[in-house]
Amino acid sequence: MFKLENIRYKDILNIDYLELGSEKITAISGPSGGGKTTLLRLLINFISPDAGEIYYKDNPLEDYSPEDIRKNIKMLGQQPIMFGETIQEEFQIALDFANISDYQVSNYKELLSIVRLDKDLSDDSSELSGGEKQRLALARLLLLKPEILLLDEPTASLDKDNQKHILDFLAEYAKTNGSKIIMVTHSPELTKEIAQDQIIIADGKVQEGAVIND
Amino acid sequence: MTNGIEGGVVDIPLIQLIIAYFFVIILIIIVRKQKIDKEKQIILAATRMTLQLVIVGFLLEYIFEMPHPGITLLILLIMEGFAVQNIFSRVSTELSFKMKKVTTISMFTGTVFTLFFFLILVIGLSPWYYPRYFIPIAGMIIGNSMTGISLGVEHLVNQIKKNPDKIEAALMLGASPQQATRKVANQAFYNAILPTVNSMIGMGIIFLPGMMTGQILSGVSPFLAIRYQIAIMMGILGSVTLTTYLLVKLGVKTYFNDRMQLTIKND
Repeated sequence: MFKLENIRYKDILNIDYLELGSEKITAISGPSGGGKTTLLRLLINFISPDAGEIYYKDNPLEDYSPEDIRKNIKMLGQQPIMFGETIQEEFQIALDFANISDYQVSNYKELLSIVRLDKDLSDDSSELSGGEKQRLALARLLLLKPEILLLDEPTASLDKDNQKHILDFLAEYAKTNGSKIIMVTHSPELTKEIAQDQIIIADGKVQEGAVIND
Repeated sequence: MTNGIEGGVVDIPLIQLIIAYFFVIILIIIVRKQKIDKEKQIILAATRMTLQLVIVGFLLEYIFEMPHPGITLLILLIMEGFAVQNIFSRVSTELSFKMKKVTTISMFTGTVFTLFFFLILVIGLSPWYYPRYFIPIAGMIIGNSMTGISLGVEHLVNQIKKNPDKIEAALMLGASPQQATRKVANQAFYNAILPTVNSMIGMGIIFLPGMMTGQILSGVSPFLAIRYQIAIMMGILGSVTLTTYLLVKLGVKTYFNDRMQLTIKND
């Protein structure tokens, strides 16, 4: 799906060659500050590389219009950010951002139950805990059914039980929806069972011999 | 100490005008007694006000005597220039070159369009450059737009700088730059028009507006003064709306490049 050639971005990333996103789930791990989040931001074209080329479906990413890129590729940042006052509004605002008008309220409830958020749609989203916000932000993203999901540590604020539940669900989601998931995780141990492709990035470079394709 | 009404206006002889400075003396006595240490500023402000108004009085007398489109336009340009400069100095946050450009364009476009619309279609002024009407009306429109746009640009810039993560989180979900900044832009717009809306609410009950008071004092019928006041309020509202709308629409764009990337986040 993505191919990176001779990518340089400030002093943060320095990747000679990398292919990723062809498997259902790709996990990117490595130490903090190593360039993982910057890589996701390059893939969604929030930043452009100082040098090199990123290819998306064999065409340079910069040849696609920003609208096309953001229609197909969506991302969940490390910090879950709420936009509305209630949980229902969070879903509605996300649909509005993505220009999707075809939806049902029952979808919201189903997604809440998938991410194990036992809340009413009328509950105040700003009063949720960090972990609850993270799960709501993930549910909100899943509602949009993007072709590619870029997830930046989507389970960072969750306990082990919820982490496993969400990761298992993501594996199932990728299988049934045909979406590709590229996720950053602080520990490769977490994702080794669900990711078909594991990449380790440290000091802005892909660690040689660490790219594992099953 | 009373004066007869000459031509509908009570004259203020120079000696009586000097008596009005009694209130400045009261203020100086109070600040001295309270040890507020602002006497110099008060004296400077009163002196500046006096000198500036005397100079403007002579200037207006000269301009009104000899109406000329070039001079009227030159004065409009000077007023716009001072207003833009005043906006930049009023705003507490630092503005980028692009934002200064947008502020200037919005201010000029919004006020000039409204001014000519108002003078030609509402007042029906002929010739259009007749300075006795053109200059005071331009002053009211530009002054109020300056206040509105200052509030608008300050909110817009501060909120975008404070919330880059929130704006980018919206972009992550597929929002356009306009959608991602809609809340901030709407609030900036609302902040800008609020003083004008509030002054319309209080007008006639809480206070009598300056222009209307001036006209009544100069012998104009209150009914005509009210018509002028209503018309100018509509003009001010139109100008504040237009200048601020342009500001938020164009201002938001200065934070994104042609790849719809939020540039402040990447600096």
